Amino acid sequence: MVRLLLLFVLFTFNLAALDIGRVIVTSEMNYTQLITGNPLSGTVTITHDKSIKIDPQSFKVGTKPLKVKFLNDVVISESSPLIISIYSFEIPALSKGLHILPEISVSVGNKTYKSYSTTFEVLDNETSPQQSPQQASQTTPQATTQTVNPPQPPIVTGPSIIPNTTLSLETKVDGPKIIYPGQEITVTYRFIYKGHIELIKESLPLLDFPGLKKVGDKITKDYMENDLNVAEFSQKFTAENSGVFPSGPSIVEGRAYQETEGKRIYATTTLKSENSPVIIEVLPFPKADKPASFNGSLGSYTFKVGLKGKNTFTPGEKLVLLLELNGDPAFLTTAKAPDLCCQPRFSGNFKSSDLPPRANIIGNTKQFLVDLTPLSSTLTEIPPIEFSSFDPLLSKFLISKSPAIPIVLNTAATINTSINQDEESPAISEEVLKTPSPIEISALFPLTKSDLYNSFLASFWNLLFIPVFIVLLITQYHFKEEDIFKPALKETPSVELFKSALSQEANSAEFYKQLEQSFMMALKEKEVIDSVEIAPENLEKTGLAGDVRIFLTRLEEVRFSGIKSYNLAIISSAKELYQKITGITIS
Amino acid sequence: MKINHPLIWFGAGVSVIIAIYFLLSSLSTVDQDLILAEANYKKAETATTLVEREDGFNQSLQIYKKLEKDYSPTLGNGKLYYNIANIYFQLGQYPLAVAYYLRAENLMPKNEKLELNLKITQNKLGVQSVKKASIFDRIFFFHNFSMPQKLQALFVLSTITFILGSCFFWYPFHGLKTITFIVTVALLMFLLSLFYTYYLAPSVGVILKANELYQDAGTQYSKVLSSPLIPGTEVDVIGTSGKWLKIKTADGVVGYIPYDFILII
Repeated sequence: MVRLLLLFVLFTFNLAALDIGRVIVTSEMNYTQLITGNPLSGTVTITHDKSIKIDPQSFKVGTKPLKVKFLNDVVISESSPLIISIYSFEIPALSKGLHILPEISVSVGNKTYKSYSTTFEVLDNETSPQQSPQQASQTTPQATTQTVNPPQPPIVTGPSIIPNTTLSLETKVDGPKIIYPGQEITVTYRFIYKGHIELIKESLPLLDFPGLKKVGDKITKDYMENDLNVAEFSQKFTAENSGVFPSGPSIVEGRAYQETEGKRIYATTTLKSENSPVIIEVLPFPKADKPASFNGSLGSYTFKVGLKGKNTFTPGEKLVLLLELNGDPAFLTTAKAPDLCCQPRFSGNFKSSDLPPRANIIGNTKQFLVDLTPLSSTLTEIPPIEFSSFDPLLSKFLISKSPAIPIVLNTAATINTSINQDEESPAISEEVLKTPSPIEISALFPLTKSDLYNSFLASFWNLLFIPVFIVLLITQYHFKEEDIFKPALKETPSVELFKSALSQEANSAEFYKQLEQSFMMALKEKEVIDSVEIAPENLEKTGLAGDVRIFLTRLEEVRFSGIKSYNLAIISSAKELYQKITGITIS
Repeated sequence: MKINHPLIWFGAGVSVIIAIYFLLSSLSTVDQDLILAEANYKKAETATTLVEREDGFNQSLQIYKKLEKDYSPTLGNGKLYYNIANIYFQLGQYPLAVAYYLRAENLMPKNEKLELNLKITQNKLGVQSVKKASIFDRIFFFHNFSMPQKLQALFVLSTITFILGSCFFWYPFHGLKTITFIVTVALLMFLLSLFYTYYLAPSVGVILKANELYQDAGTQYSKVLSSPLIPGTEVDVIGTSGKWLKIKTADGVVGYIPYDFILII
């Protein structure tokens, strides 16, 4: 890939272009991938002095940022300070047909340099059987630049001219060359070609006409005309500021070729078409006789004003004015409704709506619907409205004035809705006329100071409780594991007695007595028996009491048997039984 | 000393004045402001002339706007925003009224008074309310909760989860696992809801002045829509570019508009 790029670069740039200090930016689409449904990739090459750095973040396609990937730096020769930096970029998939790659700008050493906008063709996935996508893409006008030579195909010697091939460029400007701010013109390029032609030079400066503002996107058309292929691009512009705006010449140059057994045979003579530069002059509006009501409308119109609907209103009620302009359709889109707020007798008497006038074009007529609210009780008419426009053909301002429209401010409804209409209306006082309309919405919430604060516990600090709680749970888990909170052994009387019994001499009377007392006491503590005074033989035969009864019976047998070896077993059994009753282990 | 002695009357007068002084001073400046704002509003409601009405509403608005600036109850109960919206409505500033009603709605969802006033205002402007709960909202019905309610619920649920977690160690009881599981799931859902609202959901804005929607951040770019956006229209604010905001309309149209033409809710 890098080798291919190197070859491309070497073919692309001739040494004459490599003046020291000169920066050349070129852009080109990758012709092998220009198929519908696929993202399209391209290459930007920048020839510059190696000491000047390129800002990779500054790439822009048209006015939008372009994300690029650095591929390689190519040193022209060891004796030259120039290098060629190569970047790749990708744009989303496009529909089938001819497209324009806008100029690509980049900042090199704090200066911005641009490539020229070029065209390329995107082919359908189902390419015609005669041509591969690569071949097909190269039969139509495609990308190259004005200042450097394009990538050269492997040239096979051919005739000087290939018959039935032609290439021409037509430039058309719809509209006058001298215009006024607001006026629109449309620039159209037509590529007319026949046969296989590879474009090697292309300059279309009118598509980015300096000084004029684009209106909408470019419109592209492909069609056949008398056996010729035509690719048409048109762009609408509007003038904003006055001045003289020249464009450079429009040039297209290509080389015709034939294909024989998969090889291209190029004509030695190139086909070239050049159109002379276009100059558009935007004249300022004349200052003399400029009416105060002029707001940028162009053309000549008849102006009518009417009321939409009734002409009887109550104070504060909205009325709708219908403004109609009838004139040249070419200028109708520029026509604006007069600014009523600035018209005489409107300020203070009428309130204009916040909404812009609703506009509608029907044939040669543009209609505006304007909402107005009468504020003053003294109003008997809608004052005359002045509309002014500038006629570019006559180069003068035209002023139209509508007649006043009588209106009736009917306040009867606000005085007393039950007044019989047949009765004579009472005299309408000034105060009554100013009576405001009824309140349409529900009342305020009565506020207290607490309503001004954030709600209780409604804070993002609450989120901090979650880690705190987690830490506390983990801590509890550790405490539980280490039995820190396990209750200490409580020295109950039975425990004391049991310990005391164990400390006695094994065969002593005190040993047997205290052992028996400790078990009886333990049963009482566990509420198995009511009193320790109960005789062991009277204990119940079931449950813990039964266990104790059996143990004490056995103890009596051992006591009076005189066999000393039983003592250890008795002590062990006593400890087990005691642990069973109380849950306490005595070591 | 007789009862009608001048000194007795003098003393009584001084006492009354002192009592009134203490009564008034017991009310803070804020309380007085709130009383004054409400009084102005009521006075404007019953005004007999347009001038009186506008003056009353305007006085009330100035007080409420100052309180909004001083206290900024963005996680409050929304009543202040509702009142400000009402006054904007009365003054005919419908786009601002819509914006403040929406702010209040965020804090007091499903309030019938508010919904009705908002609808009336939107009808005046000829715009429609955009009720577009996301899939997340629809699944977990969180759009019924205001942000303060979500935060409060989060605190309560995290505290309950902690208590139940502690019971595991010290006082385990039958059904503890089930209860803890349910509460923990609810807590996680609220956490997700908060995360979504705060980080993922786009900001909502209201168009204040009619303006064109441009392809990019500047008037030199082509217009995206043939007609300007109507004031009061709700849009999603999905990005910024200098002094321009990238917005998305309810119809899914994306474009740029100067930031001072829009009020972010």
